[in-house]
Amino acid sequence: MMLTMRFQKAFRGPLGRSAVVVLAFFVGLVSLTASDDSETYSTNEAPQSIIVRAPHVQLATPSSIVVVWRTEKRINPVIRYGDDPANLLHAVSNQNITIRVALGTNRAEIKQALEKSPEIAHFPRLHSAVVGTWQYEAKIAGLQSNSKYYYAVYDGDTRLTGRDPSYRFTTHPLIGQSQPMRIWVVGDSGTAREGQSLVHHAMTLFTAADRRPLDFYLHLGDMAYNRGRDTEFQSRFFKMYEPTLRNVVCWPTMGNHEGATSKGTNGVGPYYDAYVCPTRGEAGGVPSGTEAYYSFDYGRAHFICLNSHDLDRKPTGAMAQWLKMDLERTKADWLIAFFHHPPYTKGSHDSDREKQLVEMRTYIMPILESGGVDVVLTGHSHIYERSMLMDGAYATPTIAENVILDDGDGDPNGDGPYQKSAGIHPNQGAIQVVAGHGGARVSRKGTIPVFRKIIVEHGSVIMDIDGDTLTGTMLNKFNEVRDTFSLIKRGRINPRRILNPWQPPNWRPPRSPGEDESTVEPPEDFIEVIPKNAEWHYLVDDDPEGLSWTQLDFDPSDWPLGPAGFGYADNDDRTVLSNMQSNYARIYIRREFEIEHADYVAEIGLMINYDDAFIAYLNGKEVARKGVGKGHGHEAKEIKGHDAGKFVYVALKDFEKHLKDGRNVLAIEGHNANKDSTDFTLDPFLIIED
Amino acid sequence: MAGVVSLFQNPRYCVLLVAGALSLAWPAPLPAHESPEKLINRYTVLMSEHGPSPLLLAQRAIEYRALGEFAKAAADLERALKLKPDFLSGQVELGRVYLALGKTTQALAAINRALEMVPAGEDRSTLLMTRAEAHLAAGDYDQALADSERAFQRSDINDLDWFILRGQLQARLGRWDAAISGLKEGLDRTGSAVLEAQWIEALIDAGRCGEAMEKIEPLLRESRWQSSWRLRRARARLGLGETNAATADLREAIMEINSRISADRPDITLLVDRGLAHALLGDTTAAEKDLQTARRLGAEGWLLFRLESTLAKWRKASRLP
Repeated sequence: MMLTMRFQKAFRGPLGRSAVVVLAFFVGLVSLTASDDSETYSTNEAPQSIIVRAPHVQLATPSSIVVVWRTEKRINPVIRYGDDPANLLHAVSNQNITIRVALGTNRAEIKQALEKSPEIAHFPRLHSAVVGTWQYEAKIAGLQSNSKYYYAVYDGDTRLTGRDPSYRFTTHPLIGQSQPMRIWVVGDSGTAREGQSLVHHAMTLFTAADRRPLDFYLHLGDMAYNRGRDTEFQSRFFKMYEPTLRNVVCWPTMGNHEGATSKGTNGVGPYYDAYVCPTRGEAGGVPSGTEAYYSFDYGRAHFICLNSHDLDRKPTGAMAQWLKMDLERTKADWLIAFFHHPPYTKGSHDSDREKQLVEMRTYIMPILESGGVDVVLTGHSHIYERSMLMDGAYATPTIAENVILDDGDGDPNGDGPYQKSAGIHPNQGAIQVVAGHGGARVSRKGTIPVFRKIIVEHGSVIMDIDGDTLTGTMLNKFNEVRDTFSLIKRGRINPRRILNPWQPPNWRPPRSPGEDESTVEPPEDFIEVIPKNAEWHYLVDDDPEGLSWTQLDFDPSDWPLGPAGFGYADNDDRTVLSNMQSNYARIYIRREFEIEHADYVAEIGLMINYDDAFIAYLNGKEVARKGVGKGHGHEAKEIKGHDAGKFVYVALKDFEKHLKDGRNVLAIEGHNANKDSTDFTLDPFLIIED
Repeated sequence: MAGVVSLFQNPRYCVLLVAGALSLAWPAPLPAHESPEKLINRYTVLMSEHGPSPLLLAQRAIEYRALGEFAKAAADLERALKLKPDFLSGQVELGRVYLALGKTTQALAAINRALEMVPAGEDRSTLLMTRAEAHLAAGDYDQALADSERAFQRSDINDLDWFILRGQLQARLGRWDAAISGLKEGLDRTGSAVLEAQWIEALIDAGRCGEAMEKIEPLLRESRWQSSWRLRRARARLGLGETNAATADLREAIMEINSRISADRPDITLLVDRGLAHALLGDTTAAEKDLQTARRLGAEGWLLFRLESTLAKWRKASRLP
């Protein structure tokens, strides 16, 4: 019971609730994702109360796969599997299941746990999961290649997963065997917001429509905003994609947001807890010795994952040395590399300026291109950008002259597919795809001249490889195809460099009239701790004594309650102060709110639409003042005029000194420049950086 | 020993800053969606409104660093440390930024101050390794090796770059047995193909060429591109006195590299391999040309070590037949 409560506590709050809503939404999608065959089974789930992270498949090879799940208490883990969902004839238990446990960091609690169950001292630990969480990593070996299996998770003889055929997996084809494949490519998705869910939903509709399911999934990093914490992985990745992850392997690369809590150097952190990646060449490729970077084979294609975030990117570093060796060894026909930081972008990031991006271009791209890479998939920049066929663009800033080998659009229905020689040939051109548009807010800051398509929309990429043809489809969140490109590797092609290739049109950033560049924008990810249009206690046509009304122990019960915003005229008020004009010029409002861990709050601020001025207090201390020259309350002076119109962000000064765990109070006095003003607005809500 | 130099500028210490040492005293800087420029503007405006704080200065320094503006990053960190002298992660970051600026004396001082604050544990090992890199940058190989060996006193090291750094330092100081056993330990622990290659290189350097040959042959056969392994086999064969076979390997390696390397925009790693092959064949002119091009493209340290030392030998000794 205690563990259950801890788990629930970890998931409470606005995001926990939204994740539940999203999960409910996806339950309806299960039948869609299972629609690759004619099986019609009910999704009759058995009770899963102790499963806190649903089973998901990892590290597929031609003869094995790993199923990972978590429970909130220790079980006797068993995986049963077979080729008939009604008869799971085989089982894996004990010695082939790695069991990991979260004991936390409290020494006394750890000691107590070890005294109670000494044997758990030998279990590897989970880095930062909720204390008492158990993770099971079951390797199912001895499988037939390219074969579909069904599975179920058991606690001893008790089945924990439902009799549902969507609990299945397909082993990889034999290395070197020609096999069509469909891959879902997503980056920068982990917000648990509508954009992410729509992008996922669009993929399920697209794959269901042509009855061609995914073979696997590449995530390009930033899957668990904002800091890749264990709870963020749960709500923003595993719950969001659960119907897909139970039967499709996600091969990940670490983004900078996961890098806030996980370290590539030692492979520790929630990211490394979440995934089981190859270290010893288990799925093909050269052993990397680390889960931070690795490679795997699928039929005649070789996939290379690099860590662009927190490992040495230089040619002398272990990662670049491994990359060179891996490229030397592979005998695949297709080479696909994926990592987080794009060598070329002008989306929300700039590859001409930022060190990680410059280094991936100048140090890593030459190794990839001399190894014959075909496609490079990246994220980080919240945009979709897709290049022409290019090679050797290592200069800073990036220029297009003499590095483009085919300046067509690559569209089979347009200028035609790009072409390379059959097999692997160095420096015959690669296509760069930035797919950081999987859920986080998209934006653009300029144009890199090697790109043929630049689209500022949420979406993902479906990549199909069939024999000598690779086709990429950019699908937006409304299931609309926004870009198609194709690469054919056939015969012998002699690439030529184009001196003056096609250039993307000029682009200028849109700018709002009167936009003030010096204002601070709100954090991109935030939680509303006092929601928009929340109810506040308010006082009008009177002035409270001193500042006691701003303090937590003040009793406002005789003040009326009303939803923000407050004011008159402009049609922008929910609590209309119809008698304010000509009678009074001030309003006092206050509302309490709760903060669970004040120490973890990095930034807190008001989103406020106001006319004309205000002073804000946090737990009795002034933390923001706009348009009030001096004084407060009825003694306030030098009130400046300010028109309402849009919400602006005002960070609260010195909040760390005043914000407390538990109850807090925000109080605001709003001022009109004069009583006869034609309008008044005070419409605040309070946000914290997520 | 460029691998060592590269480690100074290794962004992984940024993670240390964020996830390790900093967490002792400060909330972690925010990983952000926004570009460094935008964040710098944000922190500047926040500080102009609310005054400077060590955390905001450190956050801005990290963004300056991401843009390669190390002098500005150092200035912010120095200011942060004046406000908060016991700002551990600020000290670590300042040491790294000084190293990036080539200010090894200041770097060592900053890292020493940080070490005073960390008596034990994983963070201390990492700081010792950082100091090893600072000593190396200052040309003090003995101190660098001593620090790296202290860092390895923890039993759970699996950082591949640490194994490589220690092995390179041991090789540079002629401690072949230690280099071989240390790299083998890393190989056994991690299975890393890079450590396996380094271990084989160390065997050749130590004159244990027969052992090296046994390891090289199957790896060469498995490879599509074979120049790296041909080069290693040639070095082993030279050690065994098999000059003609070595010459054939070197010529094959050069041919393959020429088919892969872009004349205008060469892959540095291939360029250095080709330079070494030329050098071993006695074509010092071609080797020097590749060496100079590699340097111009930013190659440094141990990536060039064998090429430079082979060329130095050729300047003294006779050529291959």
